[in-house]
Amino acid sequence: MRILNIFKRVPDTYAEIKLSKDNSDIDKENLNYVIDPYGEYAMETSLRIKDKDSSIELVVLTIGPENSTELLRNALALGFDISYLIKYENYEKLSPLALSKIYIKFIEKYGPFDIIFLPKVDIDTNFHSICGYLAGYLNINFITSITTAEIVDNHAIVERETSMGKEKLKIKTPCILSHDKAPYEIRLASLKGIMLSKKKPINIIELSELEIKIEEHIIRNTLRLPPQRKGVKFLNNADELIKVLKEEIKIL
Amino acid sequence: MKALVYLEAENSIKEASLSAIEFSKNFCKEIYGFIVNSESGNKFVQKLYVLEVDRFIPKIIAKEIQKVIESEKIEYVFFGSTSSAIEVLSYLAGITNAIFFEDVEGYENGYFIKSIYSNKIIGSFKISYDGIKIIGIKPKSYNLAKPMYNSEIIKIKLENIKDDIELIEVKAKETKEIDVTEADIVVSGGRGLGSAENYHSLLKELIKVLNEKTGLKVALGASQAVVDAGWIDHSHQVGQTGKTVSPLLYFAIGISGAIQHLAGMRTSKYIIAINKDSEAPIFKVADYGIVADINIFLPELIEKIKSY
Ligand SMILES: Cc1cc2nc3c(=O)[nH]c(=O)nc-3n(C[C@H](O)[C@H](O)[C@H](O)COP(=O)(O)OP(=O)(O)OC[C@H]3O[C@@H](n4cnc5c(N)ncnc54)[C@H](O)[C@@H]3O)c2cc1C
Repeated sequence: MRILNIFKRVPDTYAEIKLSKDNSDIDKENLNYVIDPYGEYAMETSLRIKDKDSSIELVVLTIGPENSTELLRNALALGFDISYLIKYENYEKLSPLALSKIYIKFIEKYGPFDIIFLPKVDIDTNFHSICGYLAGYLNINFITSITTAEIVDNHAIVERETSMGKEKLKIKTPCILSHDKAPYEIRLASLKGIMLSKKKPINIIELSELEIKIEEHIIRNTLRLPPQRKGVKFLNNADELIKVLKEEIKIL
Repeated sequence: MKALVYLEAENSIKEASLSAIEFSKNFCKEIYGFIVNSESGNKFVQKLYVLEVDRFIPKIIAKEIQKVIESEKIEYVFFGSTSSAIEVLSYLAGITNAIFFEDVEGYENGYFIKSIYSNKIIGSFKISYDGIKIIGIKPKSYNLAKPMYNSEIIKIKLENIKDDIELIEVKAKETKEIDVTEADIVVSGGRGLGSAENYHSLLKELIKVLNEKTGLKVALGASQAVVDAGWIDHSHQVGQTGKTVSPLLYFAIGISGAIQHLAGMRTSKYIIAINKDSEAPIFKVADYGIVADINIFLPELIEKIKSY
């Protein structure tokens, strides 16, 4: 069995994001990039699956500039077996359609995979559609926003939260799953894992090798910061707050 | 040009769907609806397709929408950006080779406005694509459509649906809760509430009186710290790895205001923060602040609103 985890290289969630001088992009100077949090939860789920069956091969993929290999090295140290980087500097400006097509080419060339995990949302671009898109295009079963997954025979048993409550579902592999926050903590790489990772491969793929033409159907124009908030007015007691609810917010 | 709006209903049509209808009027004159297992919405569109199914399977629903798109020669599909709609329509994008663009907040001079980088940045985007465009409107960011038709209803019935996905178990919520993304007022609590008991008793009491006195939809929110502590389940979490909300009024009670929490609530119309630490970062985004001990202040506030 082979599992593919696709994560996104994103600015650290603790970072304040600023704009470049001409407002055409974010200011990337001194910005620390990390594995996206949902991708990280998905990786933990894959590692838990492998904890129970070490014969499973874990493959990890991301797209980004050359130095994204640091993040892949970290994935290998955690226990992933093989890693791939699709080298593309301008990846944050790709439309979901273009990004999906790149992933599809990769899957066709380097697959098959029994399970493909994706983040429930790419937190940089705010795309939620890649999972459904891949499933539709490849005609594979899919479930979005799962919180846990286990393998039983050739099925995955997954849980997720919906507006109705908690669901437990059984899905036949091959399948594509997008991952929400998991109810467990993410492991750290062990010293042994870090040593072992040095021998594991990081394969760099040029976009040209995937024989894909990037067409931009969604063109990102200028960026701006959200409107500044007005600033806080401190109130002294409950009576003053009630006055605000009545006279300013007008809900009482 | 014709638009198809994917509608969702719970008892009545969702507000997010009404915003999507209103938004679609920027692009198309003829606006049709598609809805599953409900007839709500026929007053808002010129023609309503109703799919009746005994199981809600995103793949199957997407394929039925595809048929309508083909027979009606639809170019734009609009929807309210909810996770259930995204699941169906992202699959539709895959089978129809469509552009998919969700969480749109506005349309200015030919540009779509959408927040990126966890709501830290607002982007403007131009879409130029000959194929189908599937566009989602972020809940609470656009005006609601008004009823103006009494439309023809076209029913499609599917029976004995088979699927490779089996529902093994559902743990339904005990009481029907208002989702934080749909509420007018969100009352969120953090670690400062001290204990799960305090969190539930104080906040639910405040929610109850606010609902009674204002008639508005009031929901319970949480910081990640209290979700991780097991006080409440993750569906209530607001922030980076929780939900993004922009209600009329957001209460941050005993929440420090970590950047990942702000990512999910900074677009609220009004923010009221209650915290004993006057230096807490939450006060940087709040409109009104009360520096006080929750255990003393909240019971007093609840009593005062009650007797208001
Ligand atoms: C990748 C990532 C994603 C994250 N996603 C989220 C997310 O989605 N949502 C989220 O909320 N966090 C998220 N976090 C966590 C975030 O960094 C904070 O740890 C978290 O928001 C803190 O929760 P809190 O404000 O409840 O707790 P604390 O930071 O501990 O704050 C408690 C506050 O209560 C006040 N207080 C204490 N006692 C009282 C009292 N008696 N009366 C009045 N005030 C009192 C304190 O002054 C303090 O300000 C994320 C972190 C990471 C790394």
